[in-house]
Amino acid sequence: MRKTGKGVLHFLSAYGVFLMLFLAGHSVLAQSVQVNGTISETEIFTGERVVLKINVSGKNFTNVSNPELPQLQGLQYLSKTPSTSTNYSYVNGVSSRSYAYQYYLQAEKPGKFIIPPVSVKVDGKAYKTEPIHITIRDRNKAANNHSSKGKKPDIFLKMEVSNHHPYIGQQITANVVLYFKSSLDVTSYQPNPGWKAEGFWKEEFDQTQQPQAVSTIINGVRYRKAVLMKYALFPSKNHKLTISPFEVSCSVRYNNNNQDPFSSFFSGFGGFGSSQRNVDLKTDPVSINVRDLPPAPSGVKDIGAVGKFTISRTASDRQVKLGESIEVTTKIKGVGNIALLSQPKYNFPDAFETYQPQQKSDINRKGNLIQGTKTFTDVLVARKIGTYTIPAAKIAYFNNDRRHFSIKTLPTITIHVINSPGNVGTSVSQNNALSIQPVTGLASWASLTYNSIFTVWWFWVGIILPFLFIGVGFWQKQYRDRMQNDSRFARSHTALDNAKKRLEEASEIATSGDIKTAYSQLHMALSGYIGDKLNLPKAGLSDEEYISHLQKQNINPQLVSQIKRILDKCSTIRFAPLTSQEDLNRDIRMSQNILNDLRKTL
Amino acid sequence: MIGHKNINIFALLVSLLLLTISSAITQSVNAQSSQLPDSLKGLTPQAIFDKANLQNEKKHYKSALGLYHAIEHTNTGSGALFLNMGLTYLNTDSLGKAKYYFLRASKYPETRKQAQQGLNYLSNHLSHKSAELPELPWDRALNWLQNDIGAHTLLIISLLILNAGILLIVGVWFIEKYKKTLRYSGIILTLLGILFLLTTGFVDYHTRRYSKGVMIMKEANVNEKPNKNAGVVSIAYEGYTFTVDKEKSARRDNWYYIRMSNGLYGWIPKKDIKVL
Repeated sequence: MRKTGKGVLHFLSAYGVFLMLFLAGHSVLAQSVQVNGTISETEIFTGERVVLKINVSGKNFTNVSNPELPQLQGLQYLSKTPSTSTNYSYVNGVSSRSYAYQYYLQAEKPGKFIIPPVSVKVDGKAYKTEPIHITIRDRNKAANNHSSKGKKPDIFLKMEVSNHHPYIGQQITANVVLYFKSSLDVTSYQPNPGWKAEGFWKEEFDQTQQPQAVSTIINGVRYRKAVLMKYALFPSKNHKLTISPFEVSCSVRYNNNNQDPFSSFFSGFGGFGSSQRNVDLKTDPVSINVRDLPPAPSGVKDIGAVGKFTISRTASDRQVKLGESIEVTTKIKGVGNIALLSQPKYNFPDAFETYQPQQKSDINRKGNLIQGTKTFTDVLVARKIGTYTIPAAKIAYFNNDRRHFSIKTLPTITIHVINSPGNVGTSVSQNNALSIQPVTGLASWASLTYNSIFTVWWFWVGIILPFLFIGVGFWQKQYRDRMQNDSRFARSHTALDNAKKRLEEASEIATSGDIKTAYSQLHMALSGYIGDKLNLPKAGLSDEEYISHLQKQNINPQLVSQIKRILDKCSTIRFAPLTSQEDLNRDIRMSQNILNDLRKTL
Repeated sequence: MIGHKNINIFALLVSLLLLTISSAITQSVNAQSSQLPDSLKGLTPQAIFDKANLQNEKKHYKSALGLYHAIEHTNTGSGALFLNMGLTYLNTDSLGKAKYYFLRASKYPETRKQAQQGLNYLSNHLSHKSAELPELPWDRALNWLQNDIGAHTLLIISLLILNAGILLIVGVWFIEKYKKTLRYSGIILTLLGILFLLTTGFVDYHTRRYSKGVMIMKEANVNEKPNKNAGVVSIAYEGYTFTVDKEKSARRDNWYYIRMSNGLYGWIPKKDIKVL
């Protein structure tokens, strides 16, 4: 046991020494890298932007990862891509360097918030910054705080409404007003799109000139104010309505003449770089208690008009032909909820067919009141002859200045509908019957099936025929040209015809009894055919030469000998005793056969 | 100089052309009597038509319509048939169907005037009227070619002109006299023939792809997609006319893709409209 106890003591003391040495070494390494986080301003207003800077510095490190950004409350990152900078220094033979990461944050909600530690890995080891405390104050509350205590914002936005208790349909004016201290110059502003005034019909007033800033004092603080936008709002419900916040992004610049160079607005950006800054401003929601209109007097047509109007009604014509159209136009002109007016309904006589009415609005948005003209046009078509009256009508509108309904009586309109001879359509309508009768008797019948042109055979024939015409024509043209220009071709192609012609002549001569002349013609037929086919000279060749040329053409020797025999006979017959008619006829037939055989080979 | 054989070939080709044209002009009526009910088998369309007219005169409209439809089912028709069907449907207060048949009757010259009167009458009596975009000159010309001339007539004219042009061009090779006149008139006729042929092709394509449709039910939604739950483009009422895209509609069993007269497009159930 004692031995054992001593061993334990020795072990513990050795371990303690090792632990101290390890911690000391670790401490030296740890001290070589520092990671810290700072924020440009710790007390800001909503909509402002601050810079979160993560700085990594030290001597002996190589790799630094991008900071791991924590989730924020009350603020949001404008971009999670940092702007970075690196710094190297070499002092007394010792090198050191630092990395800086900057993130832009925007204040979203008022309150006290903590920016949680930001983690950075240096050479694979994680380092964390200290948490940062930040206070965000409500810009609009601070601006409206009557107490002189507390910091006032340098710039804020306010929705200023002309009337918080309007009647339904009554115009109220909502101005978007920018307040800013004289230490600032507003270089530009951009309303955020998508503002909806739910429960209201809204019209933006035309602004002919740039907003002008005027001086004002709010809770003892001097501001300048400028109306950026001006809207006419017409409540369409008799409830408690809320005008939703209007958002504007402003670019502001530090004014050099500023008496207070340490204004919280600019110092809020930490004094980095240029004095040009952006700030997102938002108005507070504005509650409106909308009053309902008193009931309209009985017997009048309520068209939902609130304001001050003149109302008139006219007809395009007082006398029309049957079937012609008339336009009954109601014109409502004045100041008020022009666009919300509904069409007055009239009791038109049954003799008129009514068509979809037309309406047109012409709104003037200049000044402080919405005014204009709304025109409703009823289109009627006369369907019966006679005199008809469109009855008088009482139209009411609510005069919000006098707080009661004003009534305008529209006089009756009398229209004369006269006959229109020759108008087929109207005569049918007038009699309320169709004058045409069914067709009886014979009808001409046709197939109802539509066959595409591509499915009929004659389409394809009609398409192919032009190509055939061209092909045959071209072939003929070529043939004709060769016959005219190529004598060899022409002789060859006419050889047979010529030979046959001569044979026929020989036969005719033979019948007249001139056998010698007939043999001469027979000789010409054969020698001419051979000469034409082989393109030999037309004259001056002996029979032997014809035979010699034939032999060169590899013609059947038997045929050649037959030809030779005939030619010889023809040549010698002039000197021979008389030859019979039968011999001649036989020789002509033989010559015809020879020509047929030669045609196949030559 | 043209040989006898070649003259014969040309004569054969020209005869073939004339045969083709005459065959094209002759349009026979093929009454498909096999589609008729047994009681009407063996009867010509004219005979059934006469029977139907008798029923119509006796105000037996349902019976008359049955006989008229029997003729229609044989794929045979006439202006008189469709006009009578329009009038009979008018008598049964089916205004949408009446409009459909009046529109069909208006395509036949012999009944065009009466059909137009019927359509005018209906336009004053249908409960709803749709806004109609004015017809563009191009559309008017196309409708005229499609309905009044027809693709087949156009094709005959095109083939005649084209072949005549080609014959004149070929003639230039053989006829020395009037060579210049023949060449130019041949080229002009050929180009004209090709232009007519292209127009014919387009008219044929348009005829096959598009048709007029008439709403025959009282009311129906026109949907963005061929689905009852899809967004509604518009509501169509009885008597509305549409242009039906048959090619696109062929991909759906129970829906037609239509263009309304106000220019809107959408899908409508097949049972609600009748296509001309």
